[in-house]
Amino acid sequence: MTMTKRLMLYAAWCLSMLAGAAISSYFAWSPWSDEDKPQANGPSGPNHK
Amino acid sequence: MTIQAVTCPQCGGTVEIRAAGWSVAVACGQCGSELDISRPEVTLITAWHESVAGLPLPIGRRGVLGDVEWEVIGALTRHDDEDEWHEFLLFNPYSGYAWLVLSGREWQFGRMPVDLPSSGTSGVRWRGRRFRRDGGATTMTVSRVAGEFYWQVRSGDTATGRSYIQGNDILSLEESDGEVTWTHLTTVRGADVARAFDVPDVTHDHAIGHAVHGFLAAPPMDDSDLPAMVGMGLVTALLALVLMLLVGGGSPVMHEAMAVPVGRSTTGTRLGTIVVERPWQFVKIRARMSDDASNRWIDLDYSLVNRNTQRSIDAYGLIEFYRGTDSDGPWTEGDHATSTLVAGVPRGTYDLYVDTNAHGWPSDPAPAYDPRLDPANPWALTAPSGTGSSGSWGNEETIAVAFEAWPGAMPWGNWWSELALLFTLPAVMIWWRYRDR
Repeated sequence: MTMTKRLMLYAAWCLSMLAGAAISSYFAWSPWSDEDKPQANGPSGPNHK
Repeated sequence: MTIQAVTCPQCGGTVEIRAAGWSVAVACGQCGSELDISRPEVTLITAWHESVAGLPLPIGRRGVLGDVEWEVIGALTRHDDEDEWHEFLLFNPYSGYAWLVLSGREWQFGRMPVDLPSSGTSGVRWRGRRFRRDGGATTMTVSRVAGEFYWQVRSGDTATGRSYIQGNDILSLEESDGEVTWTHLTTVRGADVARAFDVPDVTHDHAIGHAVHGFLAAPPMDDSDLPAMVGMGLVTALLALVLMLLVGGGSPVMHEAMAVPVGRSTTGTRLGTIVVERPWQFVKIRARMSDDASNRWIDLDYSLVNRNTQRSIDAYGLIEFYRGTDSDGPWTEGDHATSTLVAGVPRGTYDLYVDTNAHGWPSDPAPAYDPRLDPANPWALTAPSGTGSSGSWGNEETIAVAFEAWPGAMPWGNWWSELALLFTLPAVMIWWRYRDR
């Protein structure tokens, strides 16, 4: 099967994602870390109604 | 190219016929009337006075497309329930007729195929390729005519149209009065049309949208690159998972328990030591309060303090668990445990400290009365030295919290983000393909 231009672009995207995973793992970087408090005034109780 | 001239019976103007011998109808360029030129005596089909000015391609303009010099000899404006578009009839005495269609600021070049498509289950097959049906049948109405044509055409004429698509190729089927016409259309760049016919490029500000449309255009399943794309995404996701586990994975190395008082805060409790051995690592801290605690929340402020540099990295955690009963029955909310991920911790030895701030909901619990009153201090006005407790009313509620911490955690948020980024595009393409079904 010959690779379409779209498939080649997607392959490049996958490679960049893999490189991103490698770099973020090496530098232990994550946008989902918990360095910042999610709310300034603490919790306000249950949301149950 | 032979050009003949006839006189318009409506305005008396001279009308040039560029495809003499082929054309059967022509619109007068001066008054816009539609003329029947299939017989020697030119007759008026309908007088039409709307200006033909403003067409994206002027009648009579010549341009080279695909190594053929074409002349624009006719223009139709048509519409269906949703869109309006322009169709320009091109003529070359050696190559015959062709079409340039301007639809939604996208140019398409069309020729009538000699070999007709054969019908399939959900589309047609033509020259070994499967074209899928693009939407349903629409009724197209001619709203404007200018120039000359090889068939009788007038404003208000209707035809039923269907489209079949594969990539950037479209097969257009028109049925009118029992006559079936196929046209093979291919997308051409607006810049090429503008350059060939020396007209402004009406598509230049939609170049990005055009590229996105071309990228999303999905061929039929048997020719599709979508399965290969999904497979490529899965392999990448798996490799990323292995990579993250190898580089980041770890298991708890520090265990500590603490009695957290409710209704007040504590500061600077040292939980243990974490050693980060790689240049950079994640540190994960898990805290779990006792299962019998409910309607309580605990703020946890962590500090990882580097023993050599005294630099502190702060992070935050929250445990909250509530339960109650309402008209629907008992309910619970929250969890007894929480995990905190500290990112980008450089190599070194760290002491882990925690500040706690625990409270009850909807209010802090009242201290339980202690019958073993201290006669010298019955109202607990002064706290016994060194205890920090509240004296005789000081059966202070505490919550047992177990802490675990370790370097090298798996960043699951990163992996889920990776999955989303990898599969958004195939998902959009699948939606794009099946949006009409």
